[in-house]
Amino acid sequence: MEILIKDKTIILKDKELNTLDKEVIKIVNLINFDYVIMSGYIAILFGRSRATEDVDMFIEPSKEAFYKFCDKLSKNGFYMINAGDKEEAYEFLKEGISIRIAEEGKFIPNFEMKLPKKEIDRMTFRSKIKVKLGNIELNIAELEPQIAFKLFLGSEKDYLDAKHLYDVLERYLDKDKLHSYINMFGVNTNITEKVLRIKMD
Amino acid sequence: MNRKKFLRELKEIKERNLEDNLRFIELYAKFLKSKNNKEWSSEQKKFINSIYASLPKRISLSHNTGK
Repeated sequence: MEILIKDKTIILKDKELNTLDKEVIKIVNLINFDYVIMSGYIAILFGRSRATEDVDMFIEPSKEAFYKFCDKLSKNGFYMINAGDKEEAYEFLKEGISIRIAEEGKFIPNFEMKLPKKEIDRMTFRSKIKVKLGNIELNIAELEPQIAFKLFLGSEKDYLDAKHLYDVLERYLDKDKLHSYINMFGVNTNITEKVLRIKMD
Repeated sequence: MNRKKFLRELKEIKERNLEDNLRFIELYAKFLKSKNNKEWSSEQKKFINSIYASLPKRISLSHNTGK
């Protein structure tokens, strides 16, 4: 895997885009406000051999920008799975409910979008980084807190995603930052040592 | 059936599965790091595309258009 890092941008040159990457790029091209992609898709972006039902995103649109985005969705073959119209979707977001967007006639993959309401959500939003895939730039969550959060979540799938990101990107990670997030999230030391094979002091 | 023993064996199976999968991820990460982006991503593309291609093309559920 060849990775270049410039400022807060990871350059992933020559990646052959799979179906999921292409769907993500289609949606990102329609977004006209700030966003961050997190969780499982980040592991897949960096080579994890699994699919996912949904791509998780935090978004921070004004009402007008969100309405424009909704209009673009329907013109570009997407629909909202769980909201009747853009007004209802915006109300959902404000109430802390996610909206799910998919291509017409499909449920999977879908994009689960929500507003960053909690402190950890806002932290994820603030610390986002960029990944350059060809000509497109994606906003993704910072890697160190994502790995720590996956360890905190604690399912086998989450452990394997954390392990994948750690093993593949180890030389690019800030280990002190990773340790500090692992401690902040209260992850059990035994779990961290078992999954990442690192010593926690 | 000794239930206590049975539950202990289930726990051992779960732990063993996780350990096996963690070892696989280690090997797979080594493979990824040894390949250029075009090589590993073309393998990943075949795998991921086959999963999404196997999903039903259309669903018969009436849904909202977001208008």
